[in-house]
Order: sequence, then C-alpha cells, then structure tokens
Amino acid sequence: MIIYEPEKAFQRIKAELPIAAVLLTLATILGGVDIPRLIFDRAVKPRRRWSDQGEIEEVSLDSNVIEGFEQVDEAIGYLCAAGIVNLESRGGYEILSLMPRLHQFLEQEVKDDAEVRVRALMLVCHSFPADKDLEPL
Amino acid sequence: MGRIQLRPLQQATQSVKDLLNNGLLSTAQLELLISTLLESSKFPSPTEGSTQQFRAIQLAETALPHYPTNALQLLSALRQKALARLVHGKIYPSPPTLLSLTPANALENALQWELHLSHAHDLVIRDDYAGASAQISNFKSFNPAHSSTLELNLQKQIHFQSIRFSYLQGNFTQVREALERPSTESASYNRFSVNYLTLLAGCYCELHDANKGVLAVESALQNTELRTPRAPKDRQILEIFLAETKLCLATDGVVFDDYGTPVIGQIAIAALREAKTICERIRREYEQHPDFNLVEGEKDKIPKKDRMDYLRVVTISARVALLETIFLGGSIEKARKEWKDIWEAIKRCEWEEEGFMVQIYRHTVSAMALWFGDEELASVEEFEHTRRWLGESKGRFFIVGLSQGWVRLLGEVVKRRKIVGREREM
Repeated sequence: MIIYEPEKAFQRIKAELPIAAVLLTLATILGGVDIPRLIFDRAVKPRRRWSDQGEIEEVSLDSNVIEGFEQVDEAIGYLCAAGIVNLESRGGYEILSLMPRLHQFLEQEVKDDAEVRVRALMLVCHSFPADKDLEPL
Repeated sequence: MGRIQLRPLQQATQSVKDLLNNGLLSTAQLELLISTLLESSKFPSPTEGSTQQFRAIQLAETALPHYPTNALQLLSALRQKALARLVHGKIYPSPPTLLSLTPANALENALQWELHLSHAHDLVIRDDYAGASAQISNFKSFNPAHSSTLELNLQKQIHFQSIRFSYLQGNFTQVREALERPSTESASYNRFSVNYLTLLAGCYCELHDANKGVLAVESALQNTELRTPRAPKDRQILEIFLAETKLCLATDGVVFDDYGTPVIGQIAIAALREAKTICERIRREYEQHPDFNLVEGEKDKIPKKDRMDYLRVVTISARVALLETIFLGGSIEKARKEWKDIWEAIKRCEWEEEGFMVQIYRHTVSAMALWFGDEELASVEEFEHTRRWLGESKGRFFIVGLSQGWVRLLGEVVKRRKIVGREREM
C-alpha cells in the first residue's frame, strides 16, 4: 500500500484490520517515531507492583484499554508489510516509526480525542519498568 | 529498558494537565500515572539529562492532589530528595508530616522507613554520621511477627547502610568484621556489588592492609556480572577504587631513612604507576564530556555525584604526583598543577567553603611548599593550623586514605624536611 492519500489509506486500514488503525492512533499520541514495540507487546501481560501488604502483586490493564490487543502481532505485521510502519532493531529492541505523512494526518485526527490520549498514556505507563526489586534487569 | 520509553512517555504526558483538570483519569489510572512518572525520574534523558528527571517529578506533583495517598506522597518525597542530593548536591527537606505519620500498612511502613534512610543520607552530607545511624536504628516491620517481602528487602538495605555510616565514623575494624562475618544479614549481600566491595576494600586500606583491598577489587573486576549493560558505571567506580587501593599500597610502602632521605620500594613504585595509569584514563573519560567545562555563570549540567567521583579521581592523581615528586624525583610543577586541579574540582562540587576537602587541599599545599623550601608560599604555622583542624574534625572517610594515612604522611614529610634542613645547616 503506497500512501498517496493518508486519509484514504487510514480508512482502508480501519476497514481491513481495525486494531491496526487503533495502533496507529496510539502510536501517534506516543510521538509517531522511535516507539519501542514492547509498549504494545506488554499491554496484555500483567505488570508487577507492591501491594499494600508489601508483597508483589500483578495488575492488568483495563480491558477497554487493551481491547483487540490479542491481534497486535498481526497488526504490526500488516502495517509493516503495507509500508505504513517502519520497524527497526536498535540496541536489542524493536523500534517502530510511522510514515511521516500519515503521522501528520493522524495528529490532526486524534488532537481532541481524550479517549485515545488516556489509552496511550496507560499503555506507556503500564509497560514502563518498575523498580529493580520487582523487575530485575 | 526505561530509557528507551522516556520519549513516548514524555509525548503521552503532554496533555496530562487537561486530562487531570477534566477528571478523565480513574484513581487506578492516577496511581499508575504518578508511580510511573516518579519511576521515570530515575532515568536521565539522553538529550536533556536531569532536566527531564525534574520535569517528571514536577508532573507527578501536579497529579498528586488528584489522588494524594500516603504511599504516593512518600514516593514523591523520596524521589525529590534523591535527585536534589545526586544532581545538585543539595538537601531537599524531609516533609515532617510524612516522617511522623502513622503507617496504615506494610507498604506505607516500608516507604516511611525509606524516607528515614534518605534523611540519614542528608545527615551524612552534614558529616553527622551518628545522627544518620540513629535515624535508621529502630527499624521495625509493620507486623513484626510477619515481615513483608518489601520490608525484608529494606531491612537488608538499612543493615548495610548502618555499616556504611559506621565506616564513615571511622570504625574500620568493626566494619571489616561485620562485612567478613557470615551472618543472616551478610548472606543477603551481593558480595560482588560495588557498595559492598568498596566498603570492604576501604576498610583494608584504612587498616594498612591495602594488599587485601587490591585483591578484593581486582577479583571483582574479573566478575562477569560487571559485563552487563548496567555495568560500565559500576566498573568505572570499581576502577577508581582499584587506583585508590593501589595508591594506599604505595603510601604504605614509602619511608624516610634515618637521614631523612625518602625511600620507596619496587612494589610501591609499581602500585603508584598503576594507580596513575588508571586515573589518567578515567580523567580523560570525564573531561571528554561536552558539558564538563563550565562557562562562568552557566548552570552545571553534570550531576554532582559525577563531580564528586571526578574529584575522587583527581585526588588520587594529585597524591600520586606528589609522591612521585618526593620519592622518585618527579616534576614539582606537575605536582603543583595537579593540586591546582583539585581546587577546581572542589569548586565544581561547590565545596569551597571551609570544609574537609578545603583543609586537605591547604594542608597538602603547605606541606608541598615546606618540602620544596618555598617558605614564602607557606608557613609551618599554617601547616600546623590545618593539621589541628583535621585532627579535631570528626574525620571524613569519603575518600579512602585521605583522612588518616595522607595526613600522617604529610606530617612525616614536613618533619623530615626539618631534619634535612638542620643537617644541611650543620
């Protein structure tokens, strides 16, 4: 898929694989470039934290934040194959960047979308490493 | 892993104030947001350095009134204190309400004790080691019959830090015994951790058993744990310690014979050269940093912790240069320049007030001038004055061998110079 018209490309993605379109909007809020893929991969896995009792407990993201995320692999593969997303390996991590024209278009699209903002915020917070006792490096 | 997520986190938090003001975040989301921002303040940004760390805390503080739990407030205070200390070398006051609150659970109890520990580190900055020990001496779990995992982890830290405070008070024999003795607490130390090794090696050096100190640090440097991604800084700190232990080995190996002639053995010469080689390399590493040289009036972008480590390296270099001059006929000018560099490094640490490092600087410069016969640059009275100050001070064992061994050696240098002088007159 070559993007001559970002809006049309986005509509087509939405129709073919909705979760891929969701990932694009979320990636836009996260800056559009240099996004570690693990932010999306870790979303469905529980995060560790200290409970009030001082023990390790695991918490998951709200189901509405990760709705459709079981298809993340497929969605990233689809977006890469379509040339919408560039995935490169850097320092042992897979880093994802959106095509600039599509990113610009989506910035306008999600500008006032509080729900996407909250969702992206929760994703990056959830994947951020906890202290070393909870998550040894 | 945290570092690569800093940029997306910054991007995602750009509109946080709107989300907060419009009440769009649930309490669980606020808890996750605030704790993540505070955790992210542990990672300096590759482009903005510590500015990003302070910004993250500021944002967390903006969100806190929307969900002001004791645990989050304690976490925030802990991060503010740690950053103020490590980046600016300053004390951020401990909020009295948090120090005195009655914890409602094990989490709050552990965080409150961590705040006491952080407060103890502040007292160390003021050379109040006894006060620091007292701050953490009454540690208790929320339920003493069943300590939580978090409290047990903290207890190990507190136990280790109390040993460190004892070291800073100069109780080297007790500390060495505590570190060497197998016990329930000591079994939990990571015997390859930089903190453990530097304390143990420091004890050996201060107790004139520098060879053991050298061996301890050398064996740690062979350890594979120091080849992990986190290791370069740890490795550099251990290398600085290796230079320090080598210098102590050399200092223990220099004497003045019955005629006052300086004598140095082959082992000491080799140790001195090794210390010098290590320091020269590490100094270059620090000095190559683009923000290393400060322009007058500009804000220092280098964390104070790094400035202190640099001072430590320069202090070793300068001691090596002076020993080379006295015992190996090295360049007087080089020794003078090295001690001038120390003054610059002291200023960068903002320690140019009448403190321990300033007195050590003055004491050494006086001794150097007296040894070389520059009577117009220093007087015996000045040398004695600084010696008295150092003797009366509580001691400062931040830099190995500087508080006791170095002062003793300088006393010997000045005394021998007098003998040489008298003999010349005769």
